[in-house]
Amino acid sequence: MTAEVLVRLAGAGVRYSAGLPAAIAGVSLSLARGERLAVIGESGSGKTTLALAMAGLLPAGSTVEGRIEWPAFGGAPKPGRDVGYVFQDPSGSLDPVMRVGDQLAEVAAAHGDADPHVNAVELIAQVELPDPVRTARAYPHELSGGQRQRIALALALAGRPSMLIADEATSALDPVVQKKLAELVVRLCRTNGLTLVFVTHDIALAAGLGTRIAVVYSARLAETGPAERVLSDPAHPYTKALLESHLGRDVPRGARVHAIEGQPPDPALALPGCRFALRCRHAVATCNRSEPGWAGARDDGAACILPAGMLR
Amino acid sequence: MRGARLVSRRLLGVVPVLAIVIVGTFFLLEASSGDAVDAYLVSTGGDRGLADQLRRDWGLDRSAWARLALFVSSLARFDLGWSVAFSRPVVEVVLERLPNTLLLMGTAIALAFGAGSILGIVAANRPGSAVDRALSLGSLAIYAIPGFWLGLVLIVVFAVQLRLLPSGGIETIASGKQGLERAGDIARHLVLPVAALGMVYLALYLRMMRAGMIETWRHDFVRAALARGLPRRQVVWRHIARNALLPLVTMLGLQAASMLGGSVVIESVFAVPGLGRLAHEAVAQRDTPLLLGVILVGAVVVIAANLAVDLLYAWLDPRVGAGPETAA
Amino acid sequence: MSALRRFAGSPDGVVGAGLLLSFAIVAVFAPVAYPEDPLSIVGGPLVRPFVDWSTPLGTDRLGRDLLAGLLHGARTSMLVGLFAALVAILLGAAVGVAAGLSGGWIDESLMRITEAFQTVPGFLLALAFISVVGPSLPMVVFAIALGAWTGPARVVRAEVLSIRERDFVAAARVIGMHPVEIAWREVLPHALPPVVSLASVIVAGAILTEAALSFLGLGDPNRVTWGGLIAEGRTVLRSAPYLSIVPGLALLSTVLAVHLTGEGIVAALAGRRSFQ
Repeated sequence: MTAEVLVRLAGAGVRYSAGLPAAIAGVSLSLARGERLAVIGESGSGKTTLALAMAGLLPAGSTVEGRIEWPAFGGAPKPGRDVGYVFQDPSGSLDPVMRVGDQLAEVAAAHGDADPHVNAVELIAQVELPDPVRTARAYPHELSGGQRQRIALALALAGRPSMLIADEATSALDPVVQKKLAELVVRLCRTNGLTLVFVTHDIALAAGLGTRIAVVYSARLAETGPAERVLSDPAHPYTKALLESHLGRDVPRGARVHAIEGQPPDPALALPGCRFALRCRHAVATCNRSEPGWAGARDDGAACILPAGMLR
Repeated sequence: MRGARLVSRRLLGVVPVLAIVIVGTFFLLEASSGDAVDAYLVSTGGDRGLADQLRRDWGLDRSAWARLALFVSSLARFDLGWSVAFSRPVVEVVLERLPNTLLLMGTAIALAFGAGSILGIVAANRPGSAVDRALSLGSLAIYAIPGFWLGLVLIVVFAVQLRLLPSGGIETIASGKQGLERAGDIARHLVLPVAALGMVYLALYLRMMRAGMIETWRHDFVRAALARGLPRRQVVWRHIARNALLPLVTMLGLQAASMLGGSVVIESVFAVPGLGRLAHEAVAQRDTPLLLGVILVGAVVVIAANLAVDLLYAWLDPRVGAGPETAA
Repeated sequence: MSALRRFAGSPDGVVGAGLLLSFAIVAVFAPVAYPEDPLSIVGGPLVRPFVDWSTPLGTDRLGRDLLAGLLHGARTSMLVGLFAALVAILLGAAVGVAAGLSGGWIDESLMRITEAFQTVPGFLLALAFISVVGPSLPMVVFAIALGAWTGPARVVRAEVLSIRERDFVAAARVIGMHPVEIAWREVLPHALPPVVSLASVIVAGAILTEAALSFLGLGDPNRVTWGGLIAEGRTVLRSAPYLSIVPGLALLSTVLAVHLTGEGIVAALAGRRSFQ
């Protein structure tokens, strides 16, 4: 890979306040321009915290440990300008009493657009909503959930960022709408050369749109690597269990991740060993004693002591 | 369109309410000593014979129901009865006084709403800061001040001690001022009564706006707007403040009634010839028809104010009356 | 117990309750400190405050002791404030429970009546009522309550509507409890807490309304009131402003104390509610 590195994380972690345990810790990975990274994890695993930390949107009072570097921007990314962020709830992320066109124009203008209202209509066309001029005059409550999330996507793109972070952006929608929106996101990233971080609990969705995959488990990075390799040859038992319980099968939505026996440990619990050990079929005595080191390359490896190829 | 639908629905709801007010007024009128004939004869003079004659002519010798019907039908002709105190029809006196009260109330509510909501935004900007604590405590203290007493204090300070402003009246009597000069004169007279009437509401709006801002800050769209790179100031004023203002607007209608009540004492303190002072005069002179006329017209003013507030709210919040779920 | 501790944890509430308690003591012991009629003449007219220590706050234009009036006035203010609020809350609760439980046309007409009362300015209504029945303490209390019961009525009704579908009410209905008994024993105790947080606002409003009525000369003429003292002082506002200003300060601090206590009560109740 020779493409320019956009963001590099080295031992990155987040604490929401000094007394609390880390919501995510020890994440090292890098992302090059144009790549699409799917971050997979259960709710509470810390995947959203990771996304917020990358976007620089953590609430006041939280602290970032380790390093998050942006060589391409020469400093922290500017919200909206360098990184666009799409939140999970499509109805909550729009101002209920302002026309969506005005909201788009407002963001475009804030990023120095000379003709924000024309641009607002163009952005609506870009996210493939019908009749952009009319849609621009609509209020959020007049749109469906899927349409609102498309507007939220357009808003994230209004500042012409080079990176897009979609945080469970499709989870609140029904499966058909969800699939269409995910396809649109990939298409937009391809045509505009955007780098994508797509946070989801749905490994099937992740498999379809990521060039790279990162698996997060109980506040730790379990595995990361090129999508093809992770899907065909997982190096972490958790990834393997996820794949076995879902890929290619018609498991009802929502039941997918929980198909693995047991629950992830409370993040507040200080465990000496691997945090997946309690649910792991391959666990040995060492797993419970010390936290596993990182095996493999930084951007292609797993936090597991099992030798490569063991899970095949 | 939406507005027209809203108004027509509201007007329909007003009918029973107004009917109850009218019947209630009628019973108060019946309960008071003396009737319209007594009132009329006090100002014109006449003997028992004339009184009985008039009672027959006006239908006052008939049953209570017939008298109620009579009362309603004269209301329909905008006839509110005869004022003993002024020896004139009640409706004339009331309508003459109404504009002054509307001016006083309108100015007070506008200033209180504007200043109160802006100060509320300032207080909520950094909850717990020195500015916030000063504003919150100050507003609580102001909220406890009796308006008529504040009026007296203002008179002592600004009219008696500093001699900056007139202590009463609506304008300088027989000054011969016209146009802009007269408007300025009225404005000078309005400063103190407006302050005395509006201060409590300013404190109320400040507290409500502060709470509303803090509440709205927690909404997801605020976090999203900041994530899109909008400057904090713009998010605060254009998004948070606008959303936090909505519940305050709904309060405006309710406050019309309480402010009209407050204007009675304030107008009496500052000798403003308005509706409120008229009510006091009516009580002092035992002129019940006049007092009930003031109450009826006051109720109509409150209903009109509520309608205006509904329209304003519909304009500010596009969700109102849009879907079937809000049509009820 | 824990609600009391939460109340104690709110500085507003503690200061307010402390102030209120001291005013209450003053009100109770006023006749002991000044057994004579506060309307009697005790000295020269318009004695300034802090000049003659037999009348520490001075005298009015007839030579009546301002401090004696102030202490006796506290009785009227607090008495009327408390009782008017009590009557308003009881009346409102009764209307709210009746409307919420019966539903249908009874609910509809009770709510229209409530709306009609909200449409007429409460103070004008009190004026009209007193001018018809004459000013006496019970009538003043009732006149003030007449304009203040609508708030509690609406709150109680809303609360009853949400409570009446709950299991324990249905159970009471199944075992054949009389509707009035259900209202009294099962519904009212659950509907009252939100009204309690409204109580301080009603008490404060009642005290201010009583003062305004007395100021306009519509209070009980046989009693000293703060509003009456302010009106009395108004006639000599230019030469002796303290006669109006001092009773106003007493009024202000009483109302402020009520508001502060209310903040404490709201804090205590908010804690309780969040634990449910």
